[in-house]
Amino acid sequence: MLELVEWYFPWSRLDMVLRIGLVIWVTVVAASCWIYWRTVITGKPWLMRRRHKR
Amino acid sequence: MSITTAVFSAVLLLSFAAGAAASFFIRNVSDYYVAGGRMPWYLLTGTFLASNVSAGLFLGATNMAGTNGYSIWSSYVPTSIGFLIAIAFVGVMVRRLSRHYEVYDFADILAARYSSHSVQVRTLSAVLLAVVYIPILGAQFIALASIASVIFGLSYQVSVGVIVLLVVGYTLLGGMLGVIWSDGLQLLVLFLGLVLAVPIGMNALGNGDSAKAWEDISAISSTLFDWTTPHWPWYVAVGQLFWLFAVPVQPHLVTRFLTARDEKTILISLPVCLVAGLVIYSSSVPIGLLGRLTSPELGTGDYYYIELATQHLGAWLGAFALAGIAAAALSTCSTVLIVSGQSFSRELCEHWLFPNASQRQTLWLARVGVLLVGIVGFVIAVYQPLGIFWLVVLSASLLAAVYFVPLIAGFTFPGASAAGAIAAMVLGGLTTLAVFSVNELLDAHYFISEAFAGLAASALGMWYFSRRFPSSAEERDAYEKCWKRAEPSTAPQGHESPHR
Repeated sequence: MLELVEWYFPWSRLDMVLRIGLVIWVTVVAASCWIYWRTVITGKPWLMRRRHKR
Repeated sequence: MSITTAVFSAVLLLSFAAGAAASFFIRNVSDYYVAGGRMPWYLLTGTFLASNVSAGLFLGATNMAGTNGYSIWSSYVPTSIGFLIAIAFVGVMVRRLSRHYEVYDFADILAARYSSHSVQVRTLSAVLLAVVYIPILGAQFIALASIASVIFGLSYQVSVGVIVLLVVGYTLLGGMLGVIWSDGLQLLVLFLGLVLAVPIGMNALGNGDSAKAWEDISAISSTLFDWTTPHWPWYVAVGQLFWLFAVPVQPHLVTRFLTARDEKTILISLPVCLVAGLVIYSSSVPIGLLGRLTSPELGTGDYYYIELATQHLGAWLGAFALAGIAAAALSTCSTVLIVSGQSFSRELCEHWLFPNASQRQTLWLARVGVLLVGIVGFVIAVYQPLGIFWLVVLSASLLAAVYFVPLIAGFTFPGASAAGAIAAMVLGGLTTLAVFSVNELLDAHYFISEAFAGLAASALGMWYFSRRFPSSAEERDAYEKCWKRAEPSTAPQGHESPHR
């Protein structure tokens, strides 16, 4: 299993720019999970204005 | 008949059967265009991923990864951010808009937001849609025909003809409903082929010792783990940022959200799409590198993934790998065909040529549009003016430059007006084409990517013309509706889309 992760994401061999890229990539996936938790599980509003102009 | 031929034929025929079966469930234009607007999250996820993953990834990107290693991540990281914006922002906004207006396709979305000149906005966006999608359609036909000619031993030209007939056939019959059903099957096949190919390929190439194969791969080149390589210089890597602007506004993805049952359905699909996307995209790099280990000297028109599948993956998995490529190309083909074909036919035929067409005639006009776009894609596939990867990049650059500013500004700035949207689309498209042509002719890299020049021109056009011709009260009202949750009980009667 660890081997498989190494082939997909070889962290120790990547240069600094690709490591930053991988961190961003994983953060985006984490953000999607957070949005799911916030909206679907806890039912909080998403993309809504508190006051609407008339 | 070999296993490869049988599996490949089965995927083609089952896709055709899904389209044919769906045609029996189509009762009105809503069923044909947006699958009745009642898709659950798993079908939405399947169709979103399947239509996004194309032959550009399987053949184009694996070839790029085989040559350049992990530097190709410079296109995947912006793509993942694009997924997030597409689903969590654009998808939700589009779904809310569709509760208040009659929205069946991408042109309808823009026309609903920019209602002061809805006919002009609708027609322009539909015509541009057909034009910018043709390169990507050609790329999918090339991929399918390349594999079919290997498997069936037919000439390339005959393979293109057979493939175009099959894909256009099932798209014509089943509409969006057929496309979504076949996408489910195709995603399953392509996921299986991709995910299993890496461990089995490593094992086969290392003669039972996958660690040895990994060491052999690492020794191929000193730049495999760097963000730039001699064939992937800094301007190419930075230029890939344009995916961030292209993915959220790709009409074939945006219109998927019209098929969703409700807003919650879209948000449930969000983490599933992001996680599956991470696995699918990241697996293309080890596959490409395994392919390079298999065939260090790749001939022109050959592909690392096909070499790996036919030589090292065994009969069954090799067959699934090839069928997976076909499935990816098939789903993208059908979705691009239906989105561009139906927009083109609706705007040209329904609004200009046959304004009094009945529902039945409208359905047939949509099918004629699909057929016409299919024919142009066929011509591109026969002549092959660019490689698969660069055809997909050209299409995506044009999509970003033409649609990003009008769509995103429409949801974020109440002052964005119809005049601004028209200027943004025209200036974005023309600038991208002009910079692309100059860069090709002079072998230059002005603006790093033609999409950046197009985006800048598009934003300037939107800003200037929206100030000069401000948005109307109806346009500001449409903007406000996007920022309110659309509750079924509060939706105004009479404005409700008939397919909800």
